Parts: sequence; C-alpha cells; structure tokens
Amino acid sequence: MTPTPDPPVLNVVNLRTELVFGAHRVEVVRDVSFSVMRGETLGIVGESGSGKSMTALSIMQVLPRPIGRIHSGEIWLDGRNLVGLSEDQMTTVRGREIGMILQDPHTSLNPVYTVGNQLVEALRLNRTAESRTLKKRAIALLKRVNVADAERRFHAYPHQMSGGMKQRVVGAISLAGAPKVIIADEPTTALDVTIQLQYLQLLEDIQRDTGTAIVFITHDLGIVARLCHRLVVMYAGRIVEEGTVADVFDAPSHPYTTALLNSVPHVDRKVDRLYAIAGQPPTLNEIGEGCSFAPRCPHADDLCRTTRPPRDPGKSGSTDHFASCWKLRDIA
Amino acid sequence: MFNRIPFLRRFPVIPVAILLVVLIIPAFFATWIAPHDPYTSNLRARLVPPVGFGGSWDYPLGTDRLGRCMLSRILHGAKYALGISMIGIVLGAVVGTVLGLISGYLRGWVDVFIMRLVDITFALPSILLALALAAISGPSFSLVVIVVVFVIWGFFARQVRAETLSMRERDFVAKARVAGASDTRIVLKYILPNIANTIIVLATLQIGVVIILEASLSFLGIGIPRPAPAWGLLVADGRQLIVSNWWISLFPGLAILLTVLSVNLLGDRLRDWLDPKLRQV
Amino acid sequence: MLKFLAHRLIHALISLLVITVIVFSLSHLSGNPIDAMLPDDATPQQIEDLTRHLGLDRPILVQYLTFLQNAAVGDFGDSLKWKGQTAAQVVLERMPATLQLGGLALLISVVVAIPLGVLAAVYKNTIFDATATVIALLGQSLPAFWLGIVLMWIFAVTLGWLPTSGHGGLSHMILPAISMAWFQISALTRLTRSAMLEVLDAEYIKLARVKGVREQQVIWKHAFRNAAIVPITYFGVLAGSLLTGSVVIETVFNWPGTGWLAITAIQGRDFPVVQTVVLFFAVLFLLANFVVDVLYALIDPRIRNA
Repeated sequence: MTPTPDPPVLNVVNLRTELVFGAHRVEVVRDVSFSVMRGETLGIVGESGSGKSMTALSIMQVLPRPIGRIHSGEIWLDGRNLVGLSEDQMTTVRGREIGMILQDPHTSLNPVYTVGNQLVEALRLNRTAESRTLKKRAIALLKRVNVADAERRFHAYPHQMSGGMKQRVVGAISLAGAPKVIIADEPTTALDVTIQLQYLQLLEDIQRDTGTAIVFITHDLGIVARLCHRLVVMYAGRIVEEGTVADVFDAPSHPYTTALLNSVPHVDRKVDRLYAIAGQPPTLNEIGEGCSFAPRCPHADDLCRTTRPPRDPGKSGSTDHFASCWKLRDIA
Repeated sequence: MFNRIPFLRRFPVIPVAILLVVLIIPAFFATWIAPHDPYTSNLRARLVPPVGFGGSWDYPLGTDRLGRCMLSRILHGAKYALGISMIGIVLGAVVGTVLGLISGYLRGWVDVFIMRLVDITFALPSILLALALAAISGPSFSLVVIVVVFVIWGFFARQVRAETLSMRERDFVAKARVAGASDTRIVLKYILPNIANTIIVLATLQIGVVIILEASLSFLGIGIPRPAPAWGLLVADGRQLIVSNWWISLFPGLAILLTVLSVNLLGDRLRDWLDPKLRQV
Repeated sequence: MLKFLAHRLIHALISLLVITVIVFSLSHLSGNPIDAMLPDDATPQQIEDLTRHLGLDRPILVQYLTFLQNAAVGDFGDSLKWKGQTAAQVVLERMPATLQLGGLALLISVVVAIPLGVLAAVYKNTIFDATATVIALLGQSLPAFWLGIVLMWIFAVTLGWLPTSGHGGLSHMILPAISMAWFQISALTRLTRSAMLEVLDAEYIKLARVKGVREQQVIWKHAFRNAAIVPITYFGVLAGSLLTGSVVIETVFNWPGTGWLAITAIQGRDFPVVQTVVLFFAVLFLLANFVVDVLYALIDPRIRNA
C-alpha cells in the first residue's frame, strides 16, 4: 500500500490529557497520535475507561470542567493547531469545522426546545447569516438524515420522538456547519440493533456525499468491521495497535487486540463487556512504568512489567500497521 | 454542603461544644448554673447593660426592664427550645413513621389517602394553623407541639413510606413472609430496624427548623406563654427597647442562631455518616 | 396541559375545603363562641338571642354549610375589635400593605438568589460558591424576627439611615423586605445551585458546547431554562413562607398589613378577623401555587404537551 499523498485533515500528535483533582493528577490520554484523511472513517476502539471518549473531548476542548485539561501535544486541523486556541476561537471551530455526535440520543437534545429551534441554532452559529432560509435549510437537513415528515418534526419536542429519530436529529445538528470532521462517540450504543444498522448506513451515505472524515468511537468491533477503513485500539489511555481494518483483523499484533477479537465470535454481534479477558482494566492512576496491559496479559514477563514497549511494525507487514508489544515476534 | 468548609469538616467537635454550652447543659442544669433566678426582678437594677458596656459581672449580659438577669433567663430558656424540639419531633416522628409504615406496607387506597394527607399538610402554611389555634385557646405549650407535629410528620411519613416500599421487596422480608411471620412482626422486626437510621437523620435535620418555629411563635405571642423565659419571648421583650437597650434582644437571638447553626452542621455530618442518600431531601 | 391544570385546580379546591373544615371546627372546638362575644354579665335572654342569631342551635353540618356559603361571598361577620366594620373590610384594607412588602421581598430574593445560585454552580468551588454556601448556612439558622430587629438596630437606630418602623415610602420597606427575603434567598440559592449543577452535567449541555454555542448562551439559554423548573416549583413553597414571614416581619416593624392585623386581632380576641385572615391567606397561597403550576406547564414542554 502506498502512502496517501494528501495531508490528513485531522492530525493528533503526542496528545496528553489529564484530570486534576487538587494536588492529584490522573493522565487519561497518554501520548496518543493518529490522523484521519478526508473521506476516511477511523475507528477508535477500547473498553470504557480506555481514554477514547477523553480523546474526543480533548479534540473538541470540552473536557469536564474544571478538572480536565490538555497537558501537551498538538491537534492539527487542516494545517491549524487547535491546542492553545482561545475559547472564542474554539467556539468557531466547534460545530463549524468539527461536528460531534454524542452517545445517548435520549439525553443529548435539550428537552425544553423544539428540534427545529436546536437545529436552527446550529445553522445560525455556523456561517449562514441568511435568517430567511434557516427554517428551510433546517428542514432540508432533517430530510437529509431521513427524518420522515420533516416539516412537522421541525416543531416537535425531543420527548415526542423515538431514540433513533433523536439520534438522526443529533446527526443533522452535527452536519449543520458542514464540518470537515465528524466525531461520533458511540452513537449507536443506545439504539436498537435494526436502528443501528440504518444509522450506520446513514453515516456512510453522508460521508460519500460530503467527503467528511469520521472518527468513530466504539467498543464494538462488529461496527468497526462494517464501517471503518482504519482503526486504533486504545488501552488505559494509550494506543496499543493501529492499522487498516483488514490488517488488524487478519493479523492482530497486540494480545489485547487478539483478546478483543476473540471475545467477538461473530463479527456482527454486539458485546457490552469483554468477558474473555481475565481481570479488570486498570484504573488510570495505578498504571506503572511498563506495558499497561501486562497485569492481564498471559504472555507478560518482567520486561513487560517494567519497561514500556516501543511502537513496532505489526504482523501483517503493512507499512501502516503498528503495535506496541514486547512479545510481538514471540507470540505465534 | 456545609462540609465544603474544611475547618468544619475537620472539627465536628465545635458544633457539639456550642450545643452543649448553649442548649443542653443549660436546659438541664440552669437552676444551678444561672447566677440569678430568672423570674425575680430587681427594681434597683433595671436595664443594666452587659459587662463591658457599662455593666458589671453581677449581670454579665445585663438586665431587662424589670431588672431580671438576662443570662439567667437565657439559660433557663434553653429548656423550652430543647423541650419543644424533643417532644414535638418525637411525636411527629412517631406519627409520621407509623403512617409511613402503614402507607408503604399496605399500599392501595390507604397509601393514596395518607400520601394525599401529606400533600395537604405540606400545602398549608403552618402559620395559618398557629393563628387559628392561638385565636381560640391563646398561647400554650401544647399549641406549639401541635403545630410542630403538623409541620414535620409529613417528612417522616414520605421518607419512611418510600423506604418501606423498597424494603418490602427485599429477600429477607419475602423469606419472613414465607416462614409465616405476621405483618406486624415483619414491619417491626424486619423493616423498622432497617429504616431507623433514616428516621434518626431526619429527626436531627428537623431540630433547627423546630427551634426556629417555636421561637417565632413565641415571639409573636402565640407560642410559649409568658412569663416563661422562652428565647422568642425574650427577643420580643427587647423589640420595644431596641432603641435604647439593644442587649435584651441581641443575646437571646444569638442563642437561637448558635443553637440552630450547630444543630444544622451536626445534622449534615450525621446524614453523611448514617444515610448519605438523604442528601437530596 | 388543560388536563394537568384542571387536576391541579381540583387539588387546590380540596385543600381549600380542608382549611375551611379546620377553621370551622376550631371555632367550635373552642367552646362557645358566644362567651367571647358577649360581656360576662350578659343575661340568659341575650345569650339565647345571639345563639339563634348566629344559628348555633342548628345541626353542625347545616352550620358548616352556612359558614361555607357566607365565606363564599366574603361574609365573615363583623369585627369585634374594629367596631362598625365587617371582618372582610378590616382585612381587605390591610391587604395592599402586605402585598407590597411581600412583593418587594419576593423581588429581592429572586434578583439576588437566582444569579448567585447560577454563578455558584458555574464557578463551583470559587468565591461565588463560598458566598452562596455561607448565605445558605446563615439563612437556615437566622430567625427572621431577630434578623429584623438586628437590622433595625444597626441601620435605623445606630446609623440612622432608615426609619425604624411603621408604614411609609420605600425607605420604610427596605429593612422589613430584606428580613423577609433573607431565608428565601438562602433556600432559593441552594436550589438554583444544585439544579444548575445537575443540568450542567447533562449531555445536552455537552451537545450545545460541541455545536459551537458560546458559554454565556450555554449557561442561560440551555442550562438555566432547564434548571429554572426547580426554583419555579419552589415558588409555591415560597409563597407560603412569605405569608408566614409577613406575620412575623410586620409584627417586628409595625407594618400595618394583614400579618400584623392577625396578631393584633388575636390579642384583642377578635375571632372573625383572625378567621378571615386565615382564609384569605389560604386562598392567596393556593392561588400562588396554581400560578406556579401554570408557569411550570409553560416552561416545560413535556407537561404542556401531555
């Protein structure tokens, strides 16, 4: 495979994010780097607490207040580093350049405003000054995300809609600014299986039409296989493996990835917990110097426990497949 | 929320100490520790200011219009604050707990009826009842108790009902029922002990409310009757003299403030220890 | 929404009925009201005449219905203390003074408490939050009547800035209104703060932020509109404690409103006037609660469309 000549639209470099509780600091994103091309879908996979949502919130710079903050690193969006921008500048980036879809459609729309109001607000914030056409454009957006009866739904309140419908509205809101990147944080976890598939289809359609890049955060490898081009696997705040979906699924090179894949016997079946992996993911403040996965890893030895593994080429041999594991070459 | 003041978090001793000094020791031992008799007037020592403001150690907090020792009156007044809050809260807690247990255990129309009753008593400002009662029978100790019970029983009934409802579904209650225990036995032996903490915490949280209620009624002349030195009455005595003799109102009011402040701080601590889920109440 | 409001209206009427029963039965529990109305040396003939005149010889239920009927048209008998006036007249005359003071106290508490509560939540663990905490702590522990006297002592007696008591212009109202508002401020601040804290954690706040809404708008348009539902439901309770406050504070400041009237009437054993005040207060209170229900329905679409 040859490297893509275009520069990536989103390029995260050595990102470190921490939560500060008084004198106590917990690093929740540890030296994470990845990039997404235009028109590409990148999956970020991990258990809850792996730092995948914190990565998304760091990119948007809406970390929990007042405890969350970016410690260091760079977030390049189309050649501009978002780290260090003022709150005012970030306000214009959010929604307009990066859109976001949240996990739970039942709680992510404001209950006291109509869907139309929230959609129009998003449109107004995002470069359109023409207030005459706002309503028309909002309805067009609703139609775009396949909300039936869009004219009537425009005046509806969130509580009058189903979960799938609400999540479509949230999708429409994220599209309002025609962003270059959409970050979707487990957008289908709260939906029924059939609705999930429709929603994934919708995201694919939108991407095909607009060429937007999608960062899809999930714990569900089935969805990754279905939707993504590439993926990064996160564990305890770090990326442990990254590569194309084909490479990683065919030649998983980190024991954690292998375990994840083994716990999904059928690629289209959803799992909530990874029962197949013994032990619990570490709480982020109990991680030592070595490989974070060592305490749960069947192959771990003293080296693993004391020294952090380097980022090495993965087993597939592809130039864009990497994993961080001392035993990469030892495990058959 | 008081626990966010670190000083108070580390020293729950302070509210306890204040309570002992202002409320509990005076309530039981006023007769021995008060320098004077609270009812005896000394016409040659009327309106003496407190020590440091032109008065002497004979009357550390000064005297009132009849030359009665303010310190002694305040110390004796503690009886009323403590007495009313104890009697009123115990009665209110008993009424509320019994009705709450019945409501939660029997459910059905009894439950609906009792909870509607709670709604109604919550909906009626207590002052209306106090005014109506006072108009008929004049101020009295029992009037205050009735008003207190009226104000607080609903809190107990509501909370006890909610917990009884959830207890009812627990395994050990089901097992007791299968084993043939009677309803009364189940309620008294299995449910009540498990909600005792809640009742204690609720009762503590009500003390401050009750003391202020009693003081307000007494201040208005529809609570504790004169000449008892209830704190509210003492403040009322000083109200007319505030222009020239500020101490008469000031010190009894401070006693109320300190007492209620410490009870509230203590109640908050107790809630965190015994029953953190009551935080929302 | 109509169904919801109808439901609440019926609720209010039931409560009102309960109050009338309480007031009526209290006036009968108290023994013979005749004793209070006639001089001690009244002749048996006088007693009998008055008994018949008041209908006290009829069955209790009939008496209650007559009482209700009279109450419905505002007839509560003549005042015993204020000769030549009906009880209703006496009470109505003093109503404006009470509403003035209560209104000002309400205004003060809202204007102070809502912004303070919001700021305390937004800037959690800062000076705003600490201020709110101290106010909440003191508000629960300070008896209003004593606060009134202390304020009077400081600002009227010692500093001489404001009049000590009585009825007059705005300067007469400042101290009583602040004393009345104090407790409400503490309760309302606490409520607003906790409601805002909860709402600020909501996903729709996160969504508002990620779609590029400015922080001021996030706080006031998205968060406060939702958080306001909690303080608004509290206004019903607030109305009740303002009534209580009016009795206490009007007595402290000699403010000639209905609260002061009630206490004066009790001292003068003027039962018709006390009874009228109680029923007027009850109606006012229930009315305030009904207004709250309407507001509640207006602000929360989940109820409006129910």
